[in-house]
Amino acid sequence: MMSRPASGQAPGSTGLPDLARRAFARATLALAATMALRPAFAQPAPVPTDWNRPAFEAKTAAEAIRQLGSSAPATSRDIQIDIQDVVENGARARIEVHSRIPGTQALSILTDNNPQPLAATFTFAAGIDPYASTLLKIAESGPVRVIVQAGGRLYAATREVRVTLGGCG
Amino acid sequence: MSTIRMSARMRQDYADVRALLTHPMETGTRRDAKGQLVPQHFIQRVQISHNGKVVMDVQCSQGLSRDPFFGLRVRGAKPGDRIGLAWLDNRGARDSAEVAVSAA
Repeated sequence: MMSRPASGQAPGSTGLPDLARRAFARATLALAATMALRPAFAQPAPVPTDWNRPAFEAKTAAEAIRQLGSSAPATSRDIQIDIQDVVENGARARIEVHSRIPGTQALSILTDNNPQPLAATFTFAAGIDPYASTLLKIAESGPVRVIVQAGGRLYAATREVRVTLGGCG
Repeated sequence: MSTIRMSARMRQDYADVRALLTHPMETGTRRDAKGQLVPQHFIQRVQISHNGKVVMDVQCSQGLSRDPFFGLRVRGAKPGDRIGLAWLDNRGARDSAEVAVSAA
């Protein structure tokens, strides 16, 4: 590594050969230009560490749903769950979820027969489609549930999924 | 150590964002070749941002697949807008990436 010239040193007296100095100056300029062009938001804020441990570590879907805020969410037809009826590889089961419930703030996906059913909770900024797609592990056949939070209430929808090859362990 | 592969393409009036992360997502119940339990190791938090503003915030568990995938739709995005993703796992490791929205 090249050492930086001490501050206060006159320009052009770094002791480097001319060519190297020019190359260094060019590189510095290029770097400065790149940084100037990068908008202020280029550095993402650190992801917060909060995590709903009681819900994620719940051993049953019922307990996880209670930890999400309700023991009896209303069944809704306005939650669309797209997943294959027969999943061949339970280690990588594609699921797409879309809520048409007005004011949807968050949706959670639970796999009843996994040791810890809650897989994920997606929370959306206002104006963003309450849609999420992801890949689940499904240990064995059984219900896959989606819980939607909208306007301080919880709504639920369920799909039965048969798994050929379990995806946990 | 880890990689994030992400794309963001315009579809009608939203950007279709897809991200594939590299992570073992260990459940804590798997045994290695020597019969030892492999400790839990999974991504717990993911945030996806549009021009620096968080649009989808995820809390997740080992119930998502190894090398997890996230797809979402960012309504109102335009070509050239920046889509960012950052994650944090249960051991405190972090990673982030950013892409520009491309035309359809």
